[in-house]
Amino acid sequence: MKKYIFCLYLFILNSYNAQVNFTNIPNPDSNANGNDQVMMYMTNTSEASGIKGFGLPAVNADVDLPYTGINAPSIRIEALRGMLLFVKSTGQAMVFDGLVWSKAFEVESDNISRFQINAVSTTSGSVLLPINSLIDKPNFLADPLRLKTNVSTVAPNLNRLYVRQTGLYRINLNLNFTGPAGSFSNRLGAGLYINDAQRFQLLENTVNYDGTNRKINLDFSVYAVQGQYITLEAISEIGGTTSYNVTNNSFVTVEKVL
Amino acid sequence: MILFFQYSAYSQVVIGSDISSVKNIVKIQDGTRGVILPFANIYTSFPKYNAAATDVFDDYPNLVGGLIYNKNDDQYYKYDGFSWNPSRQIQGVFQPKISRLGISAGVAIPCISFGIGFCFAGGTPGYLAADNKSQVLVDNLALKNASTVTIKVAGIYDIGVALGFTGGSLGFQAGITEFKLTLQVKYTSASDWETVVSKTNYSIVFVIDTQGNKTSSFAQTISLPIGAELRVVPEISSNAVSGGALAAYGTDTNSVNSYIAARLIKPY
Repeated sequence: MKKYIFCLYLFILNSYNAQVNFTNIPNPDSNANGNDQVMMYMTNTSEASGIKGFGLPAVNADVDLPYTGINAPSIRIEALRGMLLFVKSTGQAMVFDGLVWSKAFEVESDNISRFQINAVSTTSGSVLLPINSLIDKPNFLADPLRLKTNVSTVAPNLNRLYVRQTGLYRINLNLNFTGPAGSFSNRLGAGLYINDAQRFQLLENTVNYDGTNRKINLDFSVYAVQGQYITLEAISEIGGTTSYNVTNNSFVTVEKVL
Repeated sequence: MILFFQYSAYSQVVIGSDISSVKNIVKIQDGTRGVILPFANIYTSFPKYNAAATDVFDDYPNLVGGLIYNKNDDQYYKYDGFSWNPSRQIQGVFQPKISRLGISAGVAIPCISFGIGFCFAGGTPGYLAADNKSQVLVDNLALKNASTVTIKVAGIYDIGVALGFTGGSLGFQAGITEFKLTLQVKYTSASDWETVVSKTNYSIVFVIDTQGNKTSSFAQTISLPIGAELRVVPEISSNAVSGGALAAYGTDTNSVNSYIAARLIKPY
């Protein structure tokens, strides 16, 4: 009986405004002033009572996808363009364009975010690095890993990179230091924090290329969990200067390795 | 009623059109109107979220293929049976050209201290822990042999190494303690171990002792032939003035802090 009522409900909604909703929002398209471009809303009752997702149909392996192998069509099947299936063995959501299947969501080369460091100075020997969220693709500043998406640009979030996926990351820091001539430590470096707890400090022997400038370039390997945030700091070895500047000709590059 | 009969005939719901196919369960009409899937404000509301799990989500096969839009970072997430991952990123465990190996056997690092401390690694950690997808420990490059970590495909690799040190000195101490990691390669079965790179992770210590976990890590690009073996040598030195003994260190076997990872950038 529930099935009859449900379908009648769908039919009435479908007839009324060509929109079907699985939602408890009374008038979900009201914010679009009648120009809504959404065919169907599916929303959860509340986050407090538990979020439920929309399950794609799944097959075990690529060979189980319909219209592959000897069943591959020679003429595009218009009615099936955009069909989605999830393949369990590869972890891929696949999309059918009417002829062949391809990966629906994954962009394999799209796993490196790069940001510029704002200029900052210290008199204590170490300083947290302010990470600019500016996206400037012609200058290779991009954030496909969404480390800065919707993150405010004031401290403490200015210093943070939010991890969206549990896994292994390679973090390259390219830092330019300036300070009084002859005062630098031989070793400068960087520290990495996870949720404000120090995880690593790396020191590099630096090259004094014009007396007042030094440059380091180092790679961290770090395993981070979804929801954690990473902060970075510049450090100098004890015995050298504690007063220096990090210029904005400095960058952090984050690659999701695994 | 049309919908009902379609549902009865094909076990299928067609929305917005009378086009149907036995290969679809739900078909949305093509055109300029889109579909919004369920959303959450933050990942902690996702199904199977468990802050205590190593990847913060419980494993749940029935949820495989689930999709949720996360308003926190404005992207879809997909569930792979182990965790929710950004839809435009490959899930780590399915990345075919990488291995991340956890520690199967730690080592003790005994120390002596007479003003200046020296610690000697009595061996090298074993990186042969069993795969665990919830901890993103996978060996997709088949590096694990019975007792060695051995390259199977010649090429240029990105090697990531991390090692956690546990234990350490007790009591008053002031100075610097350095935690060093060295990556060594045995290029052929007949050759000796050769050092590729050695990196320093250090701890500045004033008054407070060095007890507590320290972790050292780095990443290095290296060209490796078939059959090359990899190992990691830990080392600790200290110039700290200590009121107590510099006690032995151990290695942290937690896969968050200790691992060796190899990513095949390009095979030769």
